[in-house]
Amino acid sequence: MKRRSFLKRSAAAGMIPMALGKTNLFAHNMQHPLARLAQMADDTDRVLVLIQLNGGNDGLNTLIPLDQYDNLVKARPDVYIPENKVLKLHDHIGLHPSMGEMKRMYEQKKIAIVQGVGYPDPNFSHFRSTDIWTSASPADETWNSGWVGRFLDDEFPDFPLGFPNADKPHPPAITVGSIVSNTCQGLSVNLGLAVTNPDNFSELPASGGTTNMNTLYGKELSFMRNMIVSTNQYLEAIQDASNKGSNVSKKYLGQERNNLARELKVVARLIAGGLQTKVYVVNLGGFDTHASQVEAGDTTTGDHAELLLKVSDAIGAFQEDLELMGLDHRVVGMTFSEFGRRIKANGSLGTDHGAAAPMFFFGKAVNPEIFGENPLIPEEVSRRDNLPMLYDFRSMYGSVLMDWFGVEEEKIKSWLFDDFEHVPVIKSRKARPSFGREQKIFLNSNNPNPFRNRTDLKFWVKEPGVVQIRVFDATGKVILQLANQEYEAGNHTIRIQGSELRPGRYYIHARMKHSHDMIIAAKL
Amino acid sequence: MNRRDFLSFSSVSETSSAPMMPTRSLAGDLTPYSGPWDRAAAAHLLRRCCFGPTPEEINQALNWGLEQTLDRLLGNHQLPAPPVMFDFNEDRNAREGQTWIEAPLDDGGDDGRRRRSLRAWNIGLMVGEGIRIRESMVLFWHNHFSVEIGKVGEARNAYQYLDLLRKNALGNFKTLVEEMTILPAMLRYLDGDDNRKGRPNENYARELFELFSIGKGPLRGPGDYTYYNENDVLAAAECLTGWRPITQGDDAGSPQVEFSEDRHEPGDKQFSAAFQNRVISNAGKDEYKVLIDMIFAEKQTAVHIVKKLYRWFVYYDITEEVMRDIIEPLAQQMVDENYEVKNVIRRLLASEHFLGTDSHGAYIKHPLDMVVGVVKNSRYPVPTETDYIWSYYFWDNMLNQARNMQMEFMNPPDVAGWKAFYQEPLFHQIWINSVTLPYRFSYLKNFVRNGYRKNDIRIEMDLIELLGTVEDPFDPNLLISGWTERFLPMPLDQVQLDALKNVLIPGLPDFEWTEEYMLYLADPSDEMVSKSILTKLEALLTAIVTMAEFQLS
Repeated sequence: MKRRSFLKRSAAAGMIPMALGKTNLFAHNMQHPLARLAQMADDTDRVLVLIQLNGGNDGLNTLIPLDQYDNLVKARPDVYIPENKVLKLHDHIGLHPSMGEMKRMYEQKKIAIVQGVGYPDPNFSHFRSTDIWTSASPADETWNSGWVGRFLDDEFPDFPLGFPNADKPHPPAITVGSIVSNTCQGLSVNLGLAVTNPDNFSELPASGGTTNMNTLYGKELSFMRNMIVSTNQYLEAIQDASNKGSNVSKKYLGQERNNLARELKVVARLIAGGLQTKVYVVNLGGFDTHASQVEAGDTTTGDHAELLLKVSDAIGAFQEDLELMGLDHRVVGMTFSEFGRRIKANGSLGTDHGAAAPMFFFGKAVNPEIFGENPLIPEEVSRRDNLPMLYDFRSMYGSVLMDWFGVEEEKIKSWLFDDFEHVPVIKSRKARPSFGREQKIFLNSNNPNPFRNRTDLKFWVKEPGVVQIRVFDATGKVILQLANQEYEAGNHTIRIQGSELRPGRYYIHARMKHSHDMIIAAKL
Repeated sequence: MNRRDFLSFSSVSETSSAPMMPTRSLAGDLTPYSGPWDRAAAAHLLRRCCFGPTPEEINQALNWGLEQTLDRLLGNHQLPAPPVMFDFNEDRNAREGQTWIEAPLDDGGDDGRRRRSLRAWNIGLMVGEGIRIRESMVLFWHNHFSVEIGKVGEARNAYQYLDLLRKNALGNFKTLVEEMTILPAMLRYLDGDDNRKGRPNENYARELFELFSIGKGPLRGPGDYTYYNENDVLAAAECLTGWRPITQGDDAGSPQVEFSEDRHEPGDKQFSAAFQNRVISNAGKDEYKVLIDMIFAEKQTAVHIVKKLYRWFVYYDITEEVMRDIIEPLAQQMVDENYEVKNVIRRLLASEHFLGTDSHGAYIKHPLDMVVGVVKNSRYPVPTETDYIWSYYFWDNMLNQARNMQMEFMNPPDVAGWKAFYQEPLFHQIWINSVTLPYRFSYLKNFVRNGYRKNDIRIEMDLIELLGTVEDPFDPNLLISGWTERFLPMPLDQVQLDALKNVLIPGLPDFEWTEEYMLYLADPSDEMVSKSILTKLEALLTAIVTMAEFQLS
């Protein structure tokens, strides 16, 4: 870290706690010079909060595509949400009725939503798909480090050697809860500490000795000793922040049984107390809704409704808390889950493991838009059919790293993947081309459709640029890449040979920078 | 790896858990152990097989010799008496002191009390285990066939599940998978009861492949996990259609299952090349066995379970050498012996690889090992069977302590079991973090100081009795070496021993301890003297069990 930015940050961090008393100096007097100082958030002040929804959240009942409603009802007759109960964000899209708080936040321009986030070869195992999402590996490779871990490894080189230190006295990442997160697994050690109750610490006895360390016993013993030493240092810092920090929002009231709200409350308090931790991970489990996702007779109730209520209320309270304390400019949050669920309901008032699903981003710094079009739901849906992805989850991670933490594109590509696509969910300080709603690539229906021997795909490109066109099968898997190259502005045609595809339904997805389009094609 | 490589990284590991530490294998292969049957070897064997063996048990093993100790560890032992109600008297079908394992739930009953009785009872079996491997194996299988107690139906189902694990603890792996597949608890836990013709629910079938039998291999193509693929999961789910637990309601007895022809998918089930493109035709209620036969015909199934056993008893890092010298031969033996477990474990435990000093002390205790272990190590006067209510309360408390350290018996995080037993690359190190370490230390300090308290009853550790177990209690050096040998996996160095003596008699010559102790013996009823002795012993024991070394086994 540069000396200058460190000084600037420490001044702000030192002042904030004083202002967190009942008077709420910053919130009510934004012209105060101290307030302006605190507003000067640079990269080192920024906090990312990851909300992991364990079990696979059902995207189609969370963000409901109303223009596909008839087919949705047909595919999930005992699970769909009645249209008049959907909380509409726009004409053709709305949220689950439990998500009132997040609807309010969307209207206040504090929520961004990205539709259809997934990866090209969906995996339906919880554990494997969670590994994929936390490591950000390709689906066919096993990576032992987590994506946040790789970013933090870069910020905290050689961790834990030499940490904590005067420059970086606080834990790089914190998991609120009892288990450290795989997301924060670095190349050698995990960079996230697990914290349940920041008020209940006492120093652990450290023990030394000259035991021979070149045995496996020595290896594990030195691991234990190092954990004791660093736990003590970090415990002190966390406790200090917890003592200085506080919570202000009244919205936490009544949420005592909401684990996610409890965990986010701890996060807000630690941020308010001056903890310089960059990434927090919180969890809510229970999204594996194979059965009783909804209650028979009233699909707006049931397990999923309760879970989404927890998510929405917890995020609402957390955001308000940060706003009241004048900290909202420093914090961005995002949700993720290992997969969405199948299009078709399973007959047990639930849904089985699926593929792509929406991600939610929140905070003052998000671009409050819905990125990506509604998913296309076919009229006839079989048990194995899935939604194809629009955005690769690694592009979402990369976009956050780029716009929130200022990471260069080269690093993002090396930590995530070469195919990185920037999606401006977060407002950038640098001027970037506006995302807009203007379509830059347009797919005509292929002709003939359905087809047997061959079909021609016509598309139109507004301005020259790289176009990627891929074909997904009905289960959400990438089967074919038709193009990934520069095209001139204007009309183009690609011929698809029938011999390349088995009979069935396919999604054809075209992508340019900041523009997408998708159609459905059928091979006989 | 040769000796030189080995030395070259030692300097790194001394300063930290060394980010770039190269992996190295434990020495030795499956050759029968030829080293001395000494205290270190005997203690190592018992520590890894039992929960915190006492020095008295270690002496017993020394007297028996290796073969006889293995006979006892792996012997057929009588099954324990079933759990009883202990804190609730409103269940007319199971009053306090009576068992409930076949009793219907009375109107006034509370299944939660039965579950509490069951889990406390099982912890009690760990505490009372003695020189036997069975309870460690029950926990192993519980982690392998992971279920969460809240999702298996009535407590009677959970008892039946544990009973199955206990009866087959050292039995036949394939039989265990067969019985588990149609066990009511498992049918409920993994939605087998929703799995029916035309609407297959693949939840159990997927875990059968991925976790319970053959295991998932490298992803070879879309939906292809080398040893099986997505189509195999669907086909297996169809093989398993038709089974469901019978709702018990007011009926007495153990939970039962039924097979319904109507709910069973009669068509052919096509498997992939991983199973030689096998087609399983309708075999009705025997079809699950045909499926399991097919999976167990693949050697990979043996490899998968042997790797888990290795990580359970030896160490988590399976290097290429370990794979070649240990896992492969044991897997072959398991196949040759039609999936009998006992001889495979015996061969591993009797090997140079396991008993040689290289593997000693390198195992981070899991929470139950630590919580139960310290009770046994310290000869804690567990309330006796005659006072069963207090025993149950005490065991229940141990369950909660281990839960705080992230291991709640019969409530693992998910169907994969506890992360520390499978999650690369940290494995056992996952138990240790900034939350669990403070829990571990405060539990140990509190246990040494207060023992167990409930209401006005307090059961403390008997430190004077524990002092009496050392070779010469008058000699502070022998007191310290006796206790460190009792509680710690490896000998300490002189610096550490001196530090411990400084806790016992700060800055004083050795004879001061001798004199204090003689004073106490002259009149044990003198409270002033006994208090000062006890304070010293308590400080010493606290210092020992809160050393990093105590967390290792």
